Amino acid sequence: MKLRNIIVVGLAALAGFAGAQQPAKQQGVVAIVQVSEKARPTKVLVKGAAGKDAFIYFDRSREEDVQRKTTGLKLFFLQTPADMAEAERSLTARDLTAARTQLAAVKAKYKNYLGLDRNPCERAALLELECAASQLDFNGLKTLYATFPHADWLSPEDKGTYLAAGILAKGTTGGTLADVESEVQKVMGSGVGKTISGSRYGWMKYAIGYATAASIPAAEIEGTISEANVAAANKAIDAYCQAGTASHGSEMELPIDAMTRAQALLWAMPGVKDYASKAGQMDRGKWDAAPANFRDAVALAYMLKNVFGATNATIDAAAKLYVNPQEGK
Amino acid sequence: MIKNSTAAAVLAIAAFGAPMVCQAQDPASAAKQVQSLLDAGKVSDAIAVCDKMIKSYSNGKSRLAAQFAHYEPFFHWRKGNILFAAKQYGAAYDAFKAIYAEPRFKDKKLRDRALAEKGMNDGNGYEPYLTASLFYMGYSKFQEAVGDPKAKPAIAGDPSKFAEAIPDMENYLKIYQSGKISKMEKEQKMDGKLCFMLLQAYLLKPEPDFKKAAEYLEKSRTAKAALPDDMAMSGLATIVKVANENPAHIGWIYKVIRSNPHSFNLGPVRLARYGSQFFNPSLQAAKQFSENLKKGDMAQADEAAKTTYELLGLVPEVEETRRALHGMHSTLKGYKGAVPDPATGASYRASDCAALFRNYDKLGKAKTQMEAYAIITAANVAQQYGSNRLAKAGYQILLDRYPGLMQNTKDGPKSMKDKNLFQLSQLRRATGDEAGAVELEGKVNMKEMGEGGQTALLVNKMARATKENKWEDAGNLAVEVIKATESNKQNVNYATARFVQVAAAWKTKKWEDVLRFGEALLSENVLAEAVKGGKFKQEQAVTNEVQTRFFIIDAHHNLARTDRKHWDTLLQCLDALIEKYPQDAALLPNAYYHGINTLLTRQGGGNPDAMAKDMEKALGYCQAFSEKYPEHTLYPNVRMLTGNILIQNEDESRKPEGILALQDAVEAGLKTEKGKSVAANALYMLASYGREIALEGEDTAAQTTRAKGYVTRFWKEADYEGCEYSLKMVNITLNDAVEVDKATFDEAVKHAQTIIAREANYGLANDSVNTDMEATINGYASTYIDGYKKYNKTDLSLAEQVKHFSEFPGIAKEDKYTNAILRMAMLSSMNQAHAKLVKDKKKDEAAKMQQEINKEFRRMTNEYKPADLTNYICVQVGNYEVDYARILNDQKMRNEEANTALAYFEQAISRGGEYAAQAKLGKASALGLTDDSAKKAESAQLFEELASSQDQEIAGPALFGITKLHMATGNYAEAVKSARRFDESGIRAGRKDMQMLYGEALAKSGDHENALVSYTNLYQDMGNITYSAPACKALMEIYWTRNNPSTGDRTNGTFKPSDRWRAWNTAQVYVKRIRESKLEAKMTPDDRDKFNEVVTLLNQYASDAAVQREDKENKAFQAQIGNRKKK
Repeated sequence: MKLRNIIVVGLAALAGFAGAQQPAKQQGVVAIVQVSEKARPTKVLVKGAAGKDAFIYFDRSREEDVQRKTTGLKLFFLQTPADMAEAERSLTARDLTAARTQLAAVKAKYKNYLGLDRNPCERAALLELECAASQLDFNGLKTLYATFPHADWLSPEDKGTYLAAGILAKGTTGGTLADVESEVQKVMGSGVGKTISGSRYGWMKYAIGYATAASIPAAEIEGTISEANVAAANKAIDAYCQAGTASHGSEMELPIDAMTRAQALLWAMPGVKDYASKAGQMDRGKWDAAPANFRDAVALAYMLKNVFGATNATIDAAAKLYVNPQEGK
Repeated sequence: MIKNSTAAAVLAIAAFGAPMVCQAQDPASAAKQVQSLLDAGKVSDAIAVCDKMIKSYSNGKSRLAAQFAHYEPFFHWRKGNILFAAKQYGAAYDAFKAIYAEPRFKDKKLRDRALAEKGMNDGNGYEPYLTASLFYMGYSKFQEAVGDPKAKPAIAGDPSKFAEAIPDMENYLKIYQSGKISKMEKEQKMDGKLCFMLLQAYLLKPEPDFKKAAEYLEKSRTAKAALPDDMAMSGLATIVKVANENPAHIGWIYKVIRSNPHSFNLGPVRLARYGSQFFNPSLQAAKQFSENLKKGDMAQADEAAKTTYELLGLVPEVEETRRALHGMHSTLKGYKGAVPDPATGASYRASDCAALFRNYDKLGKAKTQMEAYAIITAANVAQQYGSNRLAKAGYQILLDRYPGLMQNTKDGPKSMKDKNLFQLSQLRRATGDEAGAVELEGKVNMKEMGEGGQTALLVNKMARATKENKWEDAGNLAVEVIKATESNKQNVNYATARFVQVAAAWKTKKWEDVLRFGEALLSENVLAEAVKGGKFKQEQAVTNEVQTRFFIIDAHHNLARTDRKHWDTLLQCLDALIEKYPQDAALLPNAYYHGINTLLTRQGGGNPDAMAKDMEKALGYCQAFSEKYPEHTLYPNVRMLTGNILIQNEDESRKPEGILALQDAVEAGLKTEKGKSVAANALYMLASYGREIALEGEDTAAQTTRAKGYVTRFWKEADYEGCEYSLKMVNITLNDAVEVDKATFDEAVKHAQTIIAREANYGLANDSVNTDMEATINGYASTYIDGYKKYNKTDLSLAEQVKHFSEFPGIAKEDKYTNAILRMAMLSSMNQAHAKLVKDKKKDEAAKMQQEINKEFRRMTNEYKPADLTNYICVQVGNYEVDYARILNDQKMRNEEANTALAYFEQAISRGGEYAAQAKLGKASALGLTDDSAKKAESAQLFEELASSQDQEIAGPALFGITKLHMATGNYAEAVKSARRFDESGIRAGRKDMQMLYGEALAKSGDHENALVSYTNLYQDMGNITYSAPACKALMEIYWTRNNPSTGDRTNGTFKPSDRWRAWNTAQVYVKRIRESKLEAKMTPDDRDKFNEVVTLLNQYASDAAVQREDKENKAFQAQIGNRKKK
């Protein structure tokens, strides 16, 4: 019954608690807490977690830290601390470098809040994964995935991000295609697969594309893909294109890179460069007569350059050959 | 906004402490009066009181003014507020301006007086009227711009007033943010709202300024008194809406969103609240993208595409959002207040989350996930750009993640499965995955596609079949599309299918169908009718009509091969096409070309006058073509045909014009790689005819030089590996060279060998046969042997000839075709040598040579399969086998040889063409040599067939063959009949052989009288030992066998000698005459053998006693008569 006593005392203390008026010396994250249906919601300065779903707050009346379970409370809403909000704003503004630094700091600072719902540490860790993926820092992503704090406490929705990040890291840092595909199948066959967002689905497709393309020698991608590797190239192109489309326009850094890689493979497909060099000045007739891979390589290059703002030598060379297939239709 | 009641209360307090004056001029009383009038709805009267007070207080000289001047701004303010409330914004603006623009009210003394009044000082040292009036100036203009559609009567807005509102509002914002405002204004927390108003003003003015709008959107969220989240988001929605309505500004949407990251920091919960409002605008942007792309405005298309993607990125994902809302709601459940999100400025309530959750739950359960539509939209944008891979990726995601996606239609929810499957199948096909496409097409449920969808599927299948050149399928699908669309003749698909039906028939060479479908298409005006429907373009209709007319012309061209009446129809169709589309119609040049060829083939049907007319008409087409299409690829061909017609014209004066046309064909042909073969053809014709036709003013030497120049130019410019005229030119070149000198000749021989070897190797590499090779090698052999003799003053020996042909340079061992021709050339030399030996009566050497020839033939049958040989060689080898079989006594061996021969004849027959008839003849002979009765019957049948040939060289030997066959089977009566047919046909070749056979047939059939007549005819031509000797022997044998005794009396002239004496006498007369004529010494060995046979039989008959006795009696009687005469 000791626990019950603590709770009762705690509740009594909470009733008169006003986080905003707490002496400045006390550090913590404000949570809105409502003990019961009839009780008034109040703000509590949470100083950390004590395992899963238990928090520590400063009891003013007792002038000491008290531990409580969140289960049984009518409301426990951990508010977003200012530094976390700032990190989120940086990420939204796609200032990925700043966001990554800020998120790392938040993750470290609030690590003792792990186990609480909406804790900044876990949220920062998840956003860090997004940041690294968007920065195409796959080695960094691998480390973040490996050191992710308490992945077992993640909700099913957040688990999708975590697992997709692991697959993305594996596919881009030497994992075999068979392993990557097997893990993707596992995720998509589970409950997580049903809730996973388009962008995270795109991460997995990117991993498949990357692992598939790894079997094609770089010299062939620079030059012309051999007949023996055409099937692999087609598979990689399709996977990359799905990675480029899955997020339907959001978090575009990784999708744009995926489409750039697909474009490079298309440009290296047999007959494409030949047609480009022989066609001379392009016109509608030459466009219609061109091999399908040529048209796709050029149209994708045009979109990358003019819609998604991506550019490199291959994209520039191919985009110049673009002919609008819809004009006059 | 700032409330005027606050100011009224202030004034009431101020008035409380004011000195008493006349009630009518007292500010407090006047203020009360104004309020009373307003309460009574007397707005004008209230304004009149305000005006009166303003007038009284503004008269600086009056006592009232001196006492209450600092109240004057209040009545301006009051007036402005009344007018503003009455929606008289223009007048309200003036009233507020009267405060703000009046320098007197900025006077410190006056302001201090006002502030000194109780209640007038708001604690900040600023009274409200001066600064707030500036706000109201801007606000009045703003309201004037917006109007009030709900007012009665409605007040129309004047967007131009937004521009006028902006300066006042921006000035007020500056003052507001400087803090130099009244407490009352501060309490309103207006800066965020002001930014929002400015955002709208900039956006809604006639020339929207999106940059400024975006700036104020951001400011509205970062202002001290930030705009509530929902207002900011509605501002963003306004920007999106306005930009979408102004196509030129479509790009501002993505620019605004990108430059205001905080405005679209949409985590799942916030996204749930606002994201859905961006889906429809994304579709509008996609539509603009599509329209701009079709217009060819790439800059605007790209801007619209960027906006589309940006907005699609804001579309929430239903399952993710649903779960996030569920989580948030579970956390907040029961909590009545709002929890803030400091990162975005948004705040959430449990009730909002619950309501949103229900919405998203509904979307999820109905399988109408917005993000799936977003993926479709993105995929369609990519596809329109031409990126089928990206589009395919989108539809593949739909298949993998949203297989049950539904669409709300006016008829209720409908599954999109089949539509998406179909689309994905098309994209798989477009990206080269045919198997994947077929797999999906099999899964599409046609019934679910609806009538329109089914038709679309059929139309797509038809279009695909045409694109993939699967014309049989395209034709069948066209029939289905026609059935599905024929209820509306203006339907674009109906007209397209009707045209595809014609094109498919043409592509599959169903010429009758081309005529049936094509003529119906034209006579029913199908294309013109479809143009009326609006979707079938006029240019397309013209193109398809010309194509149809061309297809019809081409069908007639092909049908004319078996039915010449199509020539006439073709020409009629061509004239109709020329008449309707005289200029620049696609395929018209091709139609002209058909016309020219038709006339050249028809040649007036053999009638000289009609032929001349056809040639003139053809020349007319050629001329029209040449004038209209000098750049057309067929131009060189037409010029060549022109030349061809003219150089063969009976009118000699036109021939030089033909040479010029051919020269033109050369020049035009050499301009392109494709035209090179025409140039080669023209040069060959020029080289052939150029020597016969002089150009105007040209002497013989110049003409010869010109003609030889064609040959030189051919080798320099028109010759190429595989050129069909190179071998033909070899012999012209050799013939020219042999006339010049040895060096030239030697060089020409080497060149000829190079070209022969090159073309042989080309044929070998391309698995093709150059039919000119045989004639070229034969011609080469002849010229080479002549040239050798000319320049070496001696014949090329047989050994050298054999060596030359068996070691011909550059011919690959595996090239059996050319090697066989060379072997035949060698055999030809051997045959000539053999003939000479026979002529020279070198019997042994001739026999040896014959053995060598036989050996060579034998080698050929061992080394070459019939397929390796030309028809000519096949017939030669087959005949050799037949001849060889004929001399064999062993029937089994004879059968084998005959069967070997059959293989060569069959090969030549199967190829048809030259020598096929000779091959049939050989086949019939070979079959007849076997002991297989079925084969013999076939032989007779074949001989019968050939006996009807118009070619005597075929019919003669065939009749001979039949006769022999009948003889061999003992059917002498039939043998007699066929021999008579030969006789009656007037065939000359082989006549004597046939007569011999005829005699034999008659004799064997028992008709000795006629047999004697037949043999006697041959016998009488005694000098022709080959026939006269066997005929003599046959006569002897018939007489001897018949053995009629002598009859009658020598003395009265009725005496007829016996047959046996006749037999002896016929021979003794024959032998005597031959010997007397000294022919015996000149006989060939074969003839000598035949002659000797007669002599042997003669000696045998001479020893017969009865013959001797009768001869003795005859001689005695003759002697008796002779004595009487002497007496």
